[in-house]
Amino acid sequence: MKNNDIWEIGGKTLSSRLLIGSALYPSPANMEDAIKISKSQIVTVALRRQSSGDDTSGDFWNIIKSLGIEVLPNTAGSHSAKEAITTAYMAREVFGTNWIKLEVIGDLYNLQPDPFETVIAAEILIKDGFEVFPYTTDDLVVAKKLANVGCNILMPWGSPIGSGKGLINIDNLKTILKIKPKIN
Amino acid sequence: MKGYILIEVSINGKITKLENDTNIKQMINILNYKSKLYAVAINTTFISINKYEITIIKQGDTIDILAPIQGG
Repeated sequence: MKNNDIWEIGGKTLSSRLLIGSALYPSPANMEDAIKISKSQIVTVALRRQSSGDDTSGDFWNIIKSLGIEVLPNTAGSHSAKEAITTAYMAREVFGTNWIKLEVIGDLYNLQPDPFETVIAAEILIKDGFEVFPYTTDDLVVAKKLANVGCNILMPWGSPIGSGKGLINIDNLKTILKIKPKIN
Repeated sequence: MKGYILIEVSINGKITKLENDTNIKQMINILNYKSKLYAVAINTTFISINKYEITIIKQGDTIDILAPIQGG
């Protein structure tokens, strides 16, 4: 990306195309430093069950808010459209954004997304005002169906999560871009 | 009538007893949540914050209270 490039996504105009996660850092300070140094303008976040005595989420969220960048909550842990939709509504209330990284897992072995449930959830959420960032495979037909229900953005996997295999089907990704050139 | 009957519900996977006719706002107070950063679902249906006082918890309900966490 050139220095003067801009990226219009989800109603925002950004100068970085890098999305950065907020998990697995050795410490909150390390996370903060990494996000700042990356110059990313989108950080992914999540929700989890909270016990009444646990106030650590407030500390985490205060750091993220202080950075002044976009937050992208996910629906991690969902195995059905119903679960993902409920988590999306909860995320919208907690994080105050209509952005949602839609993740509906179809198989625990490789964390492959369930395309059928993902499309169902995407259509419902978009009708209710969400900007859906769907985690999907590199399947062209699924990509087209997601675009047809209103997704302006796709997050196709390069390879299964954690496999470290990089982009294993780059032709499939290029085909999606060829068929749907306006998709982000 | 509130206060005379106890109901059993699951809150974040833990079986908990509440007085009959308790609403979500009262439940949150009883649980003594210090942070205001959470969202609630009952039986996998999201309950928005403006419905806490009118949503009565029933015997056998499964309640999830979720808060921000690091994620990818």
